Amino acid sequence: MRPIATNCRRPVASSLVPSGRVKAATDSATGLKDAAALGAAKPSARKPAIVLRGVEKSFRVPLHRRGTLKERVLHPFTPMEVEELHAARGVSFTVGEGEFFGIVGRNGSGKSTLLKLLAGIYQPDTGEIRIEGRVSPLIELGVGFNPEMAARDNVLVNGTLLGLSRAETLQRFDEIVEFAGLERFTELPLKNYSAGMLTRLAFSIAINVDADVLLLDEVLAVGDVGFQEKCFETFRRLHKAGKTIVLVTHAMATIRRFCSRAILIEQGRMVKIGDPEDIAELYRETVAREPGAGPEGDPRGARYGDGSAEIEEVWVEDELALRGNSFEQGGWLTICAQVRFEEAMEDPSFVFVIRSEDGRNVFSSATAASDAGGGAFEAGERIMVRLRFRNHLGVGTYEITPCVAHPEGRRWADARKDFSAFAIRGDGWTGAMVDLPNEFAIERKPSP
Amino acid sequence: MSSAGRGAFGRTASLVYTLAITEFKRRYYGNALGYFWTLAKPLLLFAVLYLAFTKILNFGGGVPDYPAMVITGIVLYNYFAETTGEGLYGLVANEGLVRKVPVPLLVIPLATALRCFFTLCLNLVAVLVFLAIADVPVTWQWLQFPLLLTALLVFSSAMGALLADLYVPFRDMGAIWEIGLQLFFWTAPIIYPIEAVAPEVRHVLMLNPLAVIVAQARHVLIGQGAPSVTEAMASPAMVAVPIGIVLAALAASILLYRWITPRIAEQL
Repeated sequence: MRPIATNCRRPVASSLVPSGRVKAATDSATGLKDAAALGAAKPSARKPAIVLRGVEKSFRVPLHRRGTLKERVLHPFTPMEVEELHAARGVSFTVGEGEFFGIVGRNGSGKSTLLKLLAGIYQPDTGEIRIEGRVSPLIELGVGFNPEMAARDNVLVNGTLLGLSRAETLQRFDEIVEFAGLERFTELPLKNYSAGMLTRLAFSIAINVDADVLLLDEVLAVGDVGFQEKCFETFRRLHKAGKTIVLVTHAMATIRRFCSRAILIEQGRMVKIGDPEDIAELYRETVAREPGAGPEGDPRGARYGDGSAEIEEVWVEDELALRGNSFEQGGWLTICAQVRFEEAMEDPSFVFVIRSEDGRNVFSSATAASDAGGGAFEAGERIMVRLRFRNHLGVGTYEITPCVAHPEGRRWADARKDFSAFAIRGDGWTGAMVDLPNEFAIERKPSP
Repeated sequence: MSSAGRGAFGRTASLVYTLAITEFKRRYYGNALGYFWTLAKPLLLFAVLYLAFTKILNFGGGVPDYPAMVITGIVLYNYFAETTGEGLYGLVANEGLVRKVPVPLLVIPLATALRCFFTLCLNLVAVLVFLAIADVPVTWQWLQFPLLLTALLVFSSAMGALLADLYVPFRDMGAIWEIGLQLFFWTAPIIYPIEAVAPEVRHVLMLNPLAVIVAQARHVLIGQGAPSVTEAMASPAMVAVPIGIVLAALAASILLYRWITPRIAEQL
C-alpha cells in the first residue's frame, strides 16, 4: 500500500499551508468567502478521519501528446511544450469520523482529482493529506474486471485490488453474490452479464471491503432504480455503523438527502464548505451563471494556447453584414473573429469549428487547407478573420470554437472552446443536423 | 493495511499472484490447445534454428548435445523476451487499473513476470525431455539451476519494469525493444557454444547477464565440456559485472517505482 493508506503521510511542505490558504482566499476569482475561515466556522466536533492541509496539485499536460524517442533524439533542444493545469489549489478541510461528506463541482472543477488525491492514486505537489483507517476508493466500479472470466475470478481480482486479501475475498464471495442477486450466475463469464448485473456485482464487492473510509465517485448514477435504492440503503447502514463517507456527485438531491456537510469546488479552489442546502443552492447559481454549461457538459470556454495571439471576440453576421445571435435557415453566414497578436507571427493558420448542442463537430474549416489569409503579422497588430459559408445548418443552436495556430500547425496560439454561440431558426425542423441542398425524384417504372 | 493485519508486502504479493494467475488462466481458459501453444513457440523456434544451423550451415555437429543446449537457451531467452516484451506495455495497457485504484505500481510488471514464469515452468518440461533424450546424467550441479532461474526472474522483471516506464513518454519503445531483443538473442550463447567465440569477443559477451545465465545453465545442466561462466570470462572476478548489472536494474526499478512512476502514471 502506498503511504497514504498507512495513516502517516509525511508532511511534504506543511510550512506552505498558511500561505496556501491566503492565496486561495485572495486569488479566488469568485471571491465568495475565505474558504479556510468557513471551514473553521463549522468545526467538526468528532475525531478527524480525513485531514487536508494546503493541498496543491497541478498536471503538466503536454500539448502534443504521444512523443517518440526518435523525436526527442532528432530535436533534443526543442522544449517539451506543456500546459499547467491546476486541479487543486490550497485545498484544506477536515472530515470528522462518521461524517457523510459531499464534494460538489462542475466537470473539470477538480473534484475528481481531489477524490483521487484522497485515494492515494495521485500524490499532492505540496500540502498534507492524512486519513485514519482503511480506505475503500470507489472511483470506478469493477476495476480489473475481465469479460472472459467467470464471476468468481473477477471478484477475486477486484476484491484484491480494493485491499482485501485472497482469503478474505473468498470468505465473502457468497455474501457478495447474494447481495448482487447473482447466485445463479457465478460460473458465467462476465461478457454474458447485462450492464445492470455487472454494476450490481461491482458495487457489491466494493461495499464488502469493510473500509473505515469510503470514497465514492458518482457510482450512484448507474443501475436501475431498485438497485439504486438498495445502494442508498447500504450507504445509510454504513453511515449508521460509523463509517466515514466522501461522495463526489452532480446530483444535488443526493447531497441534500445524505450529506451532513459538503464542499463546493471550482477551478481547483474551495468556494464554500458547509451546510448541504447552502452548497446545493450555490452550485445551482454557479451553473446558472454560465448558460450552456450544464453540469454534465465540458467546461465552456476552456482555453488552450501559448498566448502569442489572442482571440478577442467572435460573432456571426448575415448576408447584409448584420451581426446577430439567431438566423433564418439558408443563405450565407459569416463568422468573424477579432484577433490580436501578442508576438510577431508568420503564416499562422486560423480554424473555426462549429459544434452542435450535443457536442458533435458539424463543420470545420482551416486556412491551412483553403489557403486564404496568411502573411506576416506584427506584435500588437489587430486583425479580422472572416469565414463565409453557405448556411446548410439545420434548426438548432451551435457553438463556435475559434483557433489560431502556429505555422507548423502543431501548437495553438489561442483556441477557445465553444467561445460563441448562435442559433438557426426556421419552420423546417427536421431533427437533422444539416440541411443539404437536395431534390427528390420519383419515377414510375414503365410496366413491361 | 494494518486493519487486515498484514503489511504492504502481503498486499503486493497477493495482488501480484492474483493478477498473474487470472491472466494466465484467461489465456488458456477453454482452450484445449492452450498448453500446446505455449510449448509450440519455443519448439518451433528450436526446429527452425536447428535445421538452419545443422542442416544448412552444417554447424553444431562438433558440439556435444547440441539440441539440448539450443532448447535450454531458447526457453530461457523466451522467458526474458516475453517478460520484457509484454512488460513494456504494462502501465499503458493497465491504465484503468493504474488510474482508478491505489495500487503499488510495481505490481504490474511483477504480475507479468510471474505469469511468464508459469509458462517457463511448463516449457522446462520440454527441456527435461530433450535432456532425457540426450541421456544427460542428473548431477548435483543441477541444484545451481534454481539460482540461475531466480537471477533470470529478477533481471527480466526489473528490465520489464524499467521499459514500462520508458514506454509512457516514448511510444516507439515497442519497436526499439524488438531490435533490442534481437541483440540479446544473438549475443547470448543460445545457438552457438560460448567456447566457440574468440576470447576477446567472449569476454565482452560474458558481461551480459542473460548470456551468463544461458551459458551457466548449459554448464550445470548438460556439462559435457561446456565451460562454466568463470572459465569463459577474462577472469573469475569479472562475474561481479553481470551480478552488478542485475542488482543495479533491481535497485533502479524499485527506486523508480517508488518515487517517479506514480507521477509518470498520472500522465497516462
